[in-house]
This record gives sequence, C-alpha cells and structure tokens, in this order.
Amino acid sequence: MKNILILNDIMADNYSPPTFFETDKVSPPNYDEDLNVAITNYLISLNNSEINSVTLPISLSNNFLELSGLIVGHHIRLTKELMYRAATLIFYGSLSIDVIAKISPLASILFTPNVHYVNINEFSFDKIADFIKNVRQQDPLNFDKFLEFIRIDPPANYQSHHSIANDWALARYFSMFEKENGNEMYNCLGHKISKLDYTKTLHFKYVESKVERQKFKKKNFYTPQFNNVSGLTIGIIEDEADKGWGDFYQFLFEKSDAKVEIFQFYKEERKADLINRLKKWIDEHNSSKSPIDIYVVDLRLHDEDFEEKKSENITGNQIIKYIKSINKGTQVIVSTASNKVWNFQKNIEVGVTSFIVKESPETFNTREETRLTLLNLTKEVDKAADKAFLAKLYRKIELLKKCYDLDLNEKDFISLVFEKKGLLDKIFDLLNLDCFNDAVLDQCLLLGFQILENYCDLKSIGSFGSSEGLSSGFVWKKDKSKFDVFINQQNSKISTWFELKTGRFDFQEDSSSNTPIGYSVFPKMESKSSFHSGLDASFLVKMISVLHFRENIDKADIERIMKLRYYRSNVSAHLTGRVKSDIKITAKNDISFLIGIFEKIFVKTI
Amino acid sequence: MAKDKYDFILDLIENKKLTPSQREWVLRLSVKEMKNDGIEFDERLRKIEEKLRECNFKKIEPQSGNSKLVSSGINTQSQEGNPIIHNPKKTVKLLKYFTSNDKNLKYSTHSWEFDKFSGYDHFMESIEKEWNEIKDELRNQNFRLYAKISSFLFQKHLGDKKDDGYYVCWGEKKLKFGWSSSYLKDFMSSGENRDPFNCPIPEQIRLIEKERNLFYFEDYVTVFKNEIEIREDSNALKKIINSLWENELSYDFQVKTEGVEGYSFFTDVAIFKEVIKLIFRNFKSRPEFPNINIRVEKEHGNIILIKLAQLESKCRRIIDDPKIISPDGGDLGTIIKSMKGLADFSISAIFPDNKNYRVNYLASNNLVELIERIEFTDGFTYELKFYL
Amino acid sequence: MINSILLIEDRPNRQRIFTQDLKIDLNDFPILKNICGGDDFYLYKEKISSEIAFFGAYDIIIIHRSALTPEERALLRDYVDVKSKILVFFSGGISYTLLQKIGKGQLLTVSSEDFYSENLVLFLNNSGEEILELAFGKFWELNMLVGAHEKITFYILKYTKKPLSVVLDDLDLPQWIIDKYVKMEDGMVEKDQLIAINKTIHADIKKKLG
Repeated sequence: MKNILILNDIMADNYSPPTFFETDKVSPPNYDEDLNVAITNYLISLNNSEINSVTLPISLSNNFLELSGLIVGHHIRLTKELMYRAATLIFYGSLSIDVIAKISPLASILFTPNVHYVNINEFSFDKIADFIKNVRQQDPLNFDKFLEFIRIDPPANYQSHHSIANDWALARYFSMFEKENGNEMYNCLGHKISKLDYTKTLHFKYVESKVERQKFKKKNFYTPQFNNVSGLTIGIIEDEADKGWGDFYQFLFEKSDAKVEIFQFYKEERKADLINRLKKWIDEHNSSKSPIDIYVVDLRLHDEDFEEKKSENITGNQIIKYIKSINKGTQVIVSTASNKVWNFQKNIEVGVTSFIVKESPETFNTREETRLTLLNLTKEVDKAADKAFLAKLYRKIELLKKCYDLDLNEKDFISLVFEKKGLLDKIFDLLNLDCFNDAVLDQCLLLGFQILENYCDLKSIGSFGSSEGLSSGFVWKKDKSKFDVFINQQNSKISTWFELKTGRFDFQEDSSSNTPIGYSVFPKMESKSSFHSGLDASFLVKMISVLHFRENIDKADIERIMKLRYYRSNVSAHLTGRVKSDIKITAKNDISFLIGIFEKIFVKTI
Repeated sequence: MAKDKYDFILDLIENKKLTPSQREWVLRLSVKEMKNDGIEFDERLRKIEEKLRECNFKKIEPQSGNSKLVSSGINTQSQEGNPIIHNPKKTVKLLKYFTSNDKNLKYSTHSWEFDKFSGYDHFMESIEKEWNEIKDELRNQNFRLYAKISSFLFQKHLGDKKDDGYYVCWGEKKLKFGWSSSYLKDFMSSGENRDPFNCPIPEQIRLIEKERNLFYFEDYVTVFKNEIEIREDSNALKKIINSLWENELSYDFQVKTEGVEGYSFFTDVAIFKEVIKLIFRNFKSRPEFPNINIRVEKEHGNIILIKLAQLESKCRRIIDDPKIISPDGGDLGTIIKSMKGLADFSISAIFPDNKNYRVNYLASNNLVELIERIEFTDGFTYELKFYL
Repeated sequence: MINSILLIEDRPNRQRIFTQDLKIDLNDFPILKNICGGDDFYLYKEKISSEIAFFGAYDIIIIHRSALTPEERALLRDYVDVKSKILVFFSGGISYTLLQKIGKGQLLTVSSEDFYSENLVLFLNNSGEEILELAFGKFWELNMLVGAHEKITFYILKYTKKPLSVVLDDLDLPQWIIDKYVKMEDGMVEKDQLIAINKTIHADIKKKLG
C-alpha cells in the first residue's frame, strides 16, 4: 500500500521527505489545459496502485490562493473512477487551520471524515508518517456526510445557467442510455461528452455524486426510441451541436431511421449574419427534394441572446417564426436549458407544441426523474412526428392555391376555396390547431366535401339534370368536349357508362341498410333500368361522373371518397348511429387523401 | 655574401604570402634565435626590430641571462609557456542551437510549437541531423560538455547498470532519463498529440533517483537547461556562489557580490561549479584574508567577466615561477584544463616584486599576451571571461 | 515597468455589460489598448499568425482564450516565452485562477467572471504593475504574504545559520515584504529570528482576514 506525498513547488526543489512516503508531483496543466483536467488525468494515472493515504499541500504552487491542493483533495473524493477515493487525506501547510477556513469554502474539506490537517510549523513529516501508520481509517467512508459538509459553487461563467445545463444534461442523459459499445455513433457521442469541460469540473463531480446516491436499477436505463420519425428529415439548430448535442440527436434519430441535418455554427459570427445564414439554410432545405419535417431548435443561439430582454428578439424565437412563416405545418421542437417560462409562451403563440427542457444540475434530479425527462423527450418527439405530415399538407395546399386550373368565370368558387381564409386555408388551420381532435377532423371532412360538392355543381364542369323523376348527366372534358355520362331514355331506361354498386361498408353497424359502396364502369354505354341503376342528380352520381370521366381519378380513390362520404353523412354531419363508434378518420390519412385528390383535380399539369 | 639566417628571417617576415599568425610565429622563433646567439644589434636586427615594432612589439631588451621580451599586448613566446588560444565563442555558438528559433534542437528544451513535429520519430530525426552537423566541433571544444549533451539526447541505455555496477547516466546529477529513453518513445506513441515534457518518469527510474524529486520529463529538461547555461531567471550564479560559500568556504569568510544577478550565459555549469569550488578552496587555504569580492561585469556588450578576488592577498610565487607561467598540474592547471573551450581564464595579483601582473592562461585571440603589467589589483583575483 | 497592456475581446456585449455594472469605461485607461469586437478584433487576431512582432509594443497581452485557434494560442504562448511578456487568457471554460511561468514569460488563466471584476479595475488603476492584482484582486498582497510564510516555514525546516544576504537570496521574497518584516542588520541570521518573522507575518495574515 502506497502513501503518496504530493510535493508543492517549494518542496520539490530541495526537500527530501522520509522514505515512508512515495513522493510525487501533480503535472501542471499546459497552457491549453484546464486545471481540473490536468488534476483528473493525474489522479487517474495513479489508479493502478493501492493507495493508503495521500499527503498534500493546501496549494501546489507558490500562489497560495490558487488553493490547488484543496482542489486535488476534492477531486480525489469526487472522482468516481478512482479506486482510492476513500484514502486518508492529510493536508499540510504553514497556516493555522482557522486561518485557512476563512480563506475559502474549499477549506471545508478539512473538516470531513478521514481528512486531517497538519501545521508543519508544529509537526514534521516524520510525525505525519507515524500518524498515518497509526490512524484507523473509517471504513466505509461516509460519503453522505462528506457531501453534506463540502460546498462547491458552480463554475463562474458569464453565460450563467446555459452552458452548465447544456453540458450537464448531455452527460446525464447519455449516462442513462443502454450501453451500445459496438455502435460507432454511440462511441463517438461518448467520446465527445468525455471532452466536455464541465464534466471535468468539481461541480459536475459533486452534483453527480449527490445524485448517484439514489438507488437505481440497471434495467431502468433507457434509450429513447421514437415511433413515428422513420423516413422523416430532422433539422438540428443547436449552438452546442459541436460539443455533443449534434451527435446526441443524430444518434437517437438515426436509430429510429430518420435523417438528420445539422446547422453549422461559426465562432464570433455576428447575430445578424447568423440569422441570415440560418434563414438561407432553412430556405434551401425547404425547397429541396426532402425538406426538413421537424426542427429541433435551441432558443439562445447567440451570445447576445443572454442579455436580450425582449423574448421575440432571441435568435431561436426569430428563427422559429421564420420557419413557421414559410410553412405553418413544419413542426418545431424547442430544446433549451432556459428555465424562463415566459419564453415558452411566445413559442406556443407561433405554433410550437413540443418542448424539451435540458435538465440542470441544480435540480439534483434523481435517476428516476431523469428517466422521466427522457420519456418526456420521447413523447414530445413522437408528438411532433405525428404532426409532421402537416408540412407536406401545407405545401400541397399552397400549391393548390397558386396553381389551380379553373375557368376564371367561376369566381365564386375560386374565392370560396382558394383565396386567403378560403376553405383550403380553413382546413389547414383547423388541423394545425389540433389534428387529433374528432370534432376538428369532422369539420375538415365537411369542408372537404363542401369543396367537392361545389365543384361538381360548376357549370363549367358539367350538368346533371332531373325532370319528371328521370335524370341525365354530362361532363365537360378537359378538351372542352361534352361527354354524356348517362342519358335518360324512354320506358324507364337509361343509357349509361356506369352503374352504382350497393352494399355495406365494413364500418357500418349491422342494423344499417345497404348503401352505394362502389360502381362499375362499362366499356361502352349500356342500357339499364333507371330504377336499378341508382343514377340521379345526387352528389354521389355527380362526383363519380366528374371524377371518373372528367378528372380520370382512379376508381379505387373514388370508392374511397364514397366511403368517406358515408362517414361524413352519418358521423360528421349527423350522428345517425349507422357507423360503428370506434371508427375514426385521421388527418394524416383521410384528410390528406382528400387534399391529394384536390391536387389531382385542380393543379395544372405541365 | 651568402644569405645567413637573419637574411632569411627578414625575407620571411616581409613575404606577403605569410598570414599574420605565421609571421608572428617566425618572429617568436627569431627572438629565440637571437637570444641563443647572444647577438649584438646590427642593421638587419634593426630591421627585424622595426618589423616587431610595426606589430606592436617593444624594443628588445636583453637582460642578463634572460632575454625575455616584454610587450604591450600581443602574444609573445615566453620561455616557459604562452596563453592557450581557444574558441569559447564557438562553443557558445553551438550551444545556442538549443535556444535559436530556427533550430530543431531548440525543441529539445522548449515546448513544441503547434504542428512543428509530426511525432517523436520526426523530432528525433530532425535533431539528430542537426546534432551531426555540430557534434564534432563541440567534441573538440569541450569533451565533457559534448558527452553530457550527447547522452541526454541520444543515449538509449540511460538507467541501465553497467558491468562496473554504475548506471548509464548524464550530467552532474547523473540522471538516468533522456530523449532516447524507450519509455518516452512509448509514451509518445501511446496517444494523440502527446506532450513529451509531460511524460511521467517511470517507476524504476524514480526509485533510483528518488532524492532528486524529478517526476516528469520536463523536470529533466529543466535540469539539462541549467547544466548548459547559467540562467538569470533561476538566479543560478548567485545560488552557486551562495552554496559554495556555505559548503566550501564557510561563513568565516565574508563574500560580497556585485552584479551577479541578471546575467545568463552558456557554459558547462558543472565544470564551472568545480572551478569555483577550486577557487574557493584556494581562498580557504588563506584564512588570514577573509574578505572575498565577486564581481560580474559586462564588457563590450557580449562578454561576461567574472572576477573572484581575495582582498589584500598577494601571490606568493614570483611571476617567473613555472607554476605561474606554465602550470602543468595543480589547481591552476586543473582550471585551465576545465575551462578550455568554455571561458578565457586569467589570474591577477600583486607579485613579490610589488608589481601587478595579469597572467592570461586561456585567451580567445592571439593578440593577448601571456603576462601583462596592470595598474591595480585589490587582491589575488581569478578572472573568467564568458562570451554571449 | 509596464508600459502598455493590450486587451482583445471578441464579445463586445460581455464587456459592455461588465463596464456598465461597474460604471467604468475601459477606454479611459491610457495604459490599456482595448480592442473590442468589430474589424479591429479580426485585424489583431490575424497578426498573431502573420506578424507576431506586432505585439512587441505590449508588455501584457490579454485575450479571450476561446477566440483563438489552438495554433494561435501556441504562437502567442511561444512569443511570450521568448520575449518575457505576460499573457492572460480569460474564458468561461476556465474554472480556477492559475499563474504559471512559461519560459521567460508568465501565463495567467482566469475565468471570465473573475477577469471582468473589480480585479481588473484594481489592476488597471495601478498601471498593470502587479499581475497578481488581476489574478487575486484585493487579496493579492495576502497571496504573497501567505506564499512568503510558506516559504519561510519550509526554509526553517532544514535551516542552518547563514548570513542575511544568503537568506534573502534563498527566500527570494518581494521587496515590500523584506522591507516590512525583515528588519535586521547584516550578519548571521539565527533560526529563532526567522521563526519570529514568520509569526509576525502569520499575525498580519490573520488580521487581514478579519
């Protein structure tokens, strides 16, 4: 068992201590290295030895107020990798202990279990050696008492809360992940985290020690896995991306088969330049083949943000506003160390619905609480992913509004559907508000069918007459030729290109009656019985006529619309009880489908 | 008339093809000849004398049985000896390789600049190349200094025990770790961007050098730097003087120093210390003169002159004493041998004839005479002249 | 004597906040050349790689560490070593004050918070003559006193009687400490005398701490 004596600069020059000790010296940090890093590396280098005691000066150098020896002592106790954490510590110095206690709170270590102080004016090193031989070490060392006694302030940092929470959260979250040593991204992330300055500080070790005291089962380690991000593109706007947050998100999202794009930050960039560059990056991605579906945005992206009093001027908020201005449907997850709740209010106002708050060390969260934070992170990401389709939907609607191909005489219809705050905008705004709400979805369906109904009634599209119980209908083809879909004949006969099929949809209640569920198309006009054909001037007939014979929409799609129509009529518009109560429509599938049909109908084909 | 030897001498000294040092040599020989001949002055001798005067020689003054030439400042050949001409400036020039920005050897004692070397092997190759350019010259200048540096840089077996039971080591402190130690090489290849100066000293070396308190390679480098240069930042000169005052001279003597701080110069510090030790021992042998004055002056901007004087003491030997003018052994002989290639060395004192002389044993140029009359000396003084 | 100090800051906002809090203007100190952001910052930064002799006019160079690349830091460090200057790195990533010798120069590393504090004001008000003022602020004298006390304590451990001149050389104490505490004639110094000096220093340290 070794008894280490760490020499200070004064002693190292010319002092020969008793042979009982194994002398050593802490390697001073090079000009580019933090003292904590140098100390940690040095202490770990001793880990191969069995160490009984460490005798060390209050300060390693001539500049006493550096108190570097006390710092070393704290590191010994708080570095969890050290095998000799509990070793007897003996500090030596020339001042009386009451004087040292007044100099710095770091001196509180002198009053913790298994730590002693020797005034070398009174005791020689031989006496210290004798003392060590005879001292009975408290075993096991009472770490809780030690932690209670000491006080480690957070590192002084002009950015105050921000940087510390960023580094802490990253290290903390990573420590919760299930180990994947064969995974390159996992290892890369681990490596980056090990380089974080904050993780080398005493404060980090102190907080970690405090939270480590809680019992935690290995099986509760947790790596977030997202359900709905597969195939999506996630954009990361995080000024600490280089420090490890970029790798963090990349690791998690790529595990769930999403693609990740990370914005590159430059040092010393002016705020205005940064914002311009961000906007350019967002625009580029927006117009690419795989635009970004979800952005993860930190709020404070520039140093000036830390002193910004108006939350709307914070860079992150400005960028979120810009993202939403280009595409209201793009999802934004705010990820921040900020604990200022009023910032979140602003975000909600611009349509942000997902938040990840980076855990801060001062909260002393238990592992269970951190796990819950990670679960929440998963939930927030999934929430955003569920709504990611809105971006695509928005693009389609904007395209519709810009590129519709209609007879300009149909001003009323155009105004109703395509103009600002028209039916298309209403559909989107409702979905953007809450795309999971049944009432909202019903309303969207109604609006969708309102569009279809109005369209089918347009004179420039077709005409469906009904007189004396008999009906006929024609549509105007794209080449402006008239196409008779069905023609009333004498003797209750009708010449028609198609006839309706009746039956029951799978979601219909057993008690409900048959209904048109599809149609058959004939290779040529055929003569059918008026009654049995079911052809009239009803919406369904018009719709089939227009969509099939004018717009060339697929039969399957039209039959799906028929199904939606039944739902619309028996649930959205009136609860008739004919549809099973557990059947719901979804925005992602059904409403998007309708918009897709509109795209086929209205958008100019090149 | 056939030419005699004096004609020959005249022809020779007037021959423009002779270099100045060759002419001087001829003149010395001719003086010897003239003395042996027991000559009278004649016209040819007068011409030779003129030539001597041209080169600053004074008039030949035959003395009874002893035609010694006393000159005012150039080399003469005395009967017993003459200043040894050496080149300490050359040694300094070579040692400056360890501090010059354009030399790779600098980085054996200074932290590596960013991206300067791609790794340990690259560094060692670079310094070996430079070392090969200067080692022969350095060896010729001062073998001990050469050996010390060579071992520190290139000895692969430092710390190994030899057949005689002694360790392979370098320097005054007999250190057993250096640039070519295999542990350092392994350390450098064990990680990226390793700083060699941060290499911890291996346990087996630490054990046998425990009392030295050297823990990292930079500690060894610091020792090396202090062994090839007296450094002002560590107040080395003062420390040497104080240490030897206590250990060699004792506090029965008063040592006053003037100007010993603020100077740095290259030399073999161990040798220098040994020399000061010897000097102090000599002082100690004359306790009746307890006042010692050590003065350091800068001359001509590039010379550090250290004068160690035992105040009021006089030289007990006459100026002609062979142990004065050509000391073969003894302390003076040892000092001469030690400082060759490192510093000019002289003594000055009042001699029994009540005249003040300076005897120059080691000189950097051949214009310096062996013996000079000087106006004043405050005691037996040892003078060491280092070049910057 | 310090003739000129250079401060290079790439984050004007940080400096602005500090100077506002302390109600000072760094441009009011004639000894200080304050390069704060803007084009000047880039100009000075560029000089490190292209023309380091440019910094010859300054005895003390203070710079935000993170504003430099590792290469630039190395170049400045080497320059300061050779030219016997003082280099000060401040940064939010630094957690403890450290003053080190680098060759013939000195390097002080200090956190941003400790740099932009009363320490800087004290330091500049005293024309930058004492780097320890920047490191430890008003406690700089205390730092030196405690350092002296430690030195003397270890010196006493293996002390044998020596002349005063040798003792002063060995201890290498700051002149003001010698003037204040070492009040004795030339001659041999007894161990008890050193112990007495140390006791006086200890008493003064205690007084300073209150």
